[in-house]
Amino acid sequence: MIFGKVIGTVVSTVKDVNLNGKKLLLCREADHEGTLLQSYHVAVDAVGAGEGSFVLISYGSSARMTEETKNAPVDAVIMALIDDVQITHVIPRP
Amino acid sequence: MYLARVIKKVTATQKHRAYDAKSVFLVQSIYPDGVPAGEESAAMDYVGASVGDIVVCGGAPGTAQSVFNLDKAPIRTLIMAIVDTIDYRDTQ
Repeated sequence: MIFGKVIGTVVSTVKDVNLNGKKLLLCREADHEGTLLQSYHVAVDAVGAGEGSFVLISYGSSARMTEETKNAPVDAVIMALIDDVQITHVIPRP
Repeated sequence: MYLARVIKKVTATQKHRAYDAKSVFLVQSIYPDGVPAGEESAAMDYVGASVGDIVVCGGAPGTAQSVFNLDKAPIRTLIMAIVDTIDYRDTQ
């Protein structure tokens, strides 16, 4: 799973029927501190995320493992809104 | 999934039966502002896309089997939506 920030919405009327009624959100990948990276993803929202939300995105075939996306041809789903990230143990870099 | 622009149509007469009556396009991934983001790849069209369209591409292992119940279908990347607009606010 990756951290991401929702930066917008992808509007599409002509799409696969399994995507009808799903929200396609444009996310920019981030690190655990919220620093934005140069990588963008379109993900189906399963938890009511909106612009500005700091989220967790699950990608790959596991993206179809939610009620919202089980029959959809998706490979990325927003499955968590992040409140806080706690670092409990820092492993020094070799 | 990722945003991409449809570049060219790929035509092939000899192909797996899963590709019958389906077209394949060369797509290039793009940033939200339309600037090319690098790699190009082939994607099977499921929505009637045409050259020049901005589309949403993607697909994970098993999509063809579980979503389109095609057994033994060698399909990975699909064009699954044609983008009307992208409403977004990006920071540098």
